[in-house]
Amino acid sequence: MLALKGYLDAHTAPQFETAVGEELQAGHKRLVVDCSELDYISSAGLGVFMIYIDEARQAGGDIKIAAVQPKVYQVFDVLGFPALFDIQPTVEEAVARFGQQPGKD
Amino acid sequence: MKRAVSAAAAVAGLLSLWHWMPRHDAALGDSRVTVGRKEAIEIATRWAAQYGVEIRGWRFAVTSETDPALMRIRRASPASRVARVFTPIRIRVLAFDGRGDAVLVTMTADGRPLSFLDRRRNPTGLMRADAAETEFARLAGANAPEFVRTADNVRTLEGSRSAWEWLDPALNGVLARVVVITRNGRVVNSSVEFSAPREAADEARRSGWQRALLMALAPLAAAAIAVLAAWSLFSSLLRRTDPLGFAARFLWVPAIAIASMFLSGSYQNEALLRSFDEGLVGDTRLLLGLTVSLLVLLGIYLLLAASWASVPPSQMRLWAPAALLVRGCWKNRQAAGQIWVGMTAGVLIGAVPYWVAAAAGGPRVRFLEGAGGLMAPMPFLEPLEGLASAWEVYLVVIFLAPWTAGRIRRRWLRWLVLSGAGALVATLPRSPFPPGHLANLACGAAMTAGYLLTYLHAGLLGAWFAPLGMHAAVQGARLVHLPAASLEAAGWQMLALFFGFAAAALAASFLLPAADEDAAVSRMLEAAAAPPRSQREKLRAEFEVARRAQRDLLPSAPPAIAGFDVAAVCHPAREVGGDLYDCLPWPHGRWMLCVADVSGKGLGAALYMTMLKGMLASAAHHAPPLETLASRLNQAVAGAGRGRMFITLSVILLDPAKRRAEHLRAGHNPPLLWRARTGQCEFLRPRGIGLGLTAGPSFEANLETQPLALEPGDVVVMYSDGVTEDMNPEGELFGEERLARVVCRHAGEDAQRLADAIMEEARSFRATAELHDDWTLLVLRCRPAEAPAGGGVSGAAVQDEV
Repeated sequence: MLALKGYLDAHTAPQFETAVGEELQAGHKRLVVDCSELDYISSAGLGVFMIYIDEARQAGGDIKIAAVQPKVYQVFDVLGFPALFDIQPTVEEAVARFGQQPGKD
Repeated sequence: MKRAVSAAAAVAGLLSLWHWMPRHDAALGDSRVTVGRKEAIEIATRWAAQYGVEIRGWRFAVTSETDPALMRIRRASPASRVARVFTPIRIRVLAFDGRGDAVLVTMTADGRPLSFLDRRRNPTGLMRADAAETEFARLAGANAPEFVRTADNVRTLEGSRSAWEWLDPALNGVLARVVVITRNGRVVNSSVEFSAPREAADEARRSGWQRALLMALAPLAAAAIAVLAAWSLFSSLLRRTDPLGFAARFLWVPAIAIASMFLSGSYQNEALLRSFDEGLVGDTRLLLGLTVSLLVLLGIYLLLAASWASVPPSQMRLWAPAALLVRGCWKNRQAAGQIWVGMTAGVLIGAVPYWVAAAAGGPRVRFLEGAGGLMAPMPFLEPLEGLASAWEVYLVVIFLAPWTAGRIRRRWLRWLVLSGAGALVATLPRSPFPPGHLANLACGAAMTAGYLLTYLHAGLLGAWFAPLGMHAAVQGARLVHLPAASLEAAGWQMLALFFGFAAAALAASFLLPAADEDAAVSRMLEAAAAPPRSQREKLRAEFEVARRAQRDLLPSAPPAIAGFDVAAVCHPAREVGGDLYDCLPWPHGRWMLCVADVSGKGLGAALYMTMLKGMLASAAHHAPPLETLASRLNQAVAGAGRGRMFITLSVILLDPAKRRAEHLRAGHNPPLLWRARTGQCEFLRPRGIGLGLTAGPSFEANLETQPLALEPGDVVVMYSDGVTEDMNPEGELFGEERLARVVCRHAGEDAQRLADAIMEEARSFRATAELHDDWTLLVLRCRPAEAPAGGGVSGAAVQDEV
């Protein structure tokens, strides 16, 4: 479980990238990103999701996005992210989704 | 935590001072200073009255000084009676009336007369036949029988000279001499002098070369560090000018200290007496003082600038609160905390000479002694001098410590160098022990170590204010122990001032909000990493070339399409941008209009934008279906960007003859469509993922082409997110609704005017805020049937390709 807070832009994206990288390295391939306190995301932040999604899915896990604020969801939606990522309204539902699809992408 | 530790240190320091000072301080020793400024003036006035000279109401300057001959006698033979009778500290009271008359009265530290000098042009006063003898009796006091008369009213230029000498039989060559000069039965000049010729020679022989060496090393070391600082500063000025700015802004701290010296009258005090010694009366030498002060400030300025330029990244956090403070960030808890730690640490450092004296068991501490400021009108301001005179701190701790931090790896070696430098340089301003004494070195090294510790924990401000704490504590403690009422009062005032200031700093360190240190540190890092000026010019020139090249890639003018108006605007946020718009002719009379946005800004984004433009241009030749084109673009971007970069794209393939278009949206902001018939705006949101996000089949699976049938008057506005995410100074976003409103308002006008209106609205919305993302707009308007075929078209006329 990773929680994002505040602004995810070119300054803060490297921190997020390192965090996800560390989780995957440690073998935690089922990640839920809690975006309830995320106010803004830029292309740099979006890029971080893109970097690791293939790795996570190939290892049999996934990166799910949960509890996105409406403004931020707009950004995801315009870009077409919902077709690529599993975006759930709450963290619990995202976690539940892992249970529903064992081993499935 | 640090604040508590330093508070404990201050308490320890004060207790030490209280305990050890009476025993080891020279001023408190057997100097018996019982006279302060007020008392001295009163005594002088009383004596002058005895001579018949009325000086009440005149202006006064009072200083205290040490008689070097008597000091030598004391050191050489403390048992000598002469040494015990007459104290080495003298107080001089100069009275002048501003019209050229002056009288100088000198007394011992406990108020006994030492000399009287009458420099009035028309002397009046009591005349007595035995003026000389009376005067001698007064000066010699109870020891008169010891003296032997050696001169009896000898005629000299000044007047009649009489002299008495006291030869101490116990020690050869030590003598006290009373000289009285009278004119017309009035005392014109009387004094008690001391000389110890043999002792002086002996002492010089005894410690000769050691003392000379040490005394020479100190200024040499200081000069070496100063030269190093100057060289370091000038070489850094080739790359950056921020050191000068910081030093100039910090300079007000020592400037205030120097100003207080003038405002408190202590400089004028000293200057009056020195100029009197040279024969001038009432000359405060203000000009000289100001010149010297300016030179001192210049020296501090250069040292500060050199130090700032040498700060390594590991120590930048220590300088950040000062950097913020001088930029006007008063609400700075960190700075207040550093000042508190510095001042309290300074108290403990002030106790060091007394520990050394106790350990050495010998010499007395002459620390900060003889400061004329004690006799100045406002002595409690004297500690402020510590903010401008601690040269050993400026040279060794504030400059040399950061400079060596980057260059000497081994920590123990660094501390050795710094302590050694400090040991030498610390003797410069005023050495605590007699010059040349080895205890000076120990003291200097220990105090430098103390200042260094303070610097490493409390930064520049801590190290700068530590001398202030030291002065206040030492002087205050000393004065409080003196029997003179006015001096004791001054001592308490000094301590109160110190405690008040320190307490204010402590309170501020809790109550004020924390300032943004990280921002300051990153500014410092940026400035430190700045490339040399010549390189910066080269970079700027290259960016200029790139900007022009990119501008040339964009269409020079919107195309003329039969039956349609087109207008386009593209403003990059930086010199080069990542946005693109294009209008390419396709086979069969069609036109492809698109707006694209590369993720990111600047040079990287611009390069990918160029790649996209190339691919779009080549597509124009074989005119594939839009979805195929998008798919190919997606593969190319995914391959080139490898997940770190994506491009959003919105394409309209227009068939002007049929007034029909196909719209494909790859993750881009939904274009705005204004229908002339309904007067309503709608956003076109066909499904589509951004290019480069996934190389797999989900891209094609989630892509759709939207057919559009355009009617006369309809307007399509394509834009990049720089338009809707434009921010005003209050942080609000421009947003889609505002864009829709502007379009609805101006949709009846031609495309160029509509584009201008949107730009104007954006500009007034943005106000003083900066453009923070590339701003791109493409307006396509289907000309209404009534408008004449050739009217309202802007841009060059380009024939449609058939």
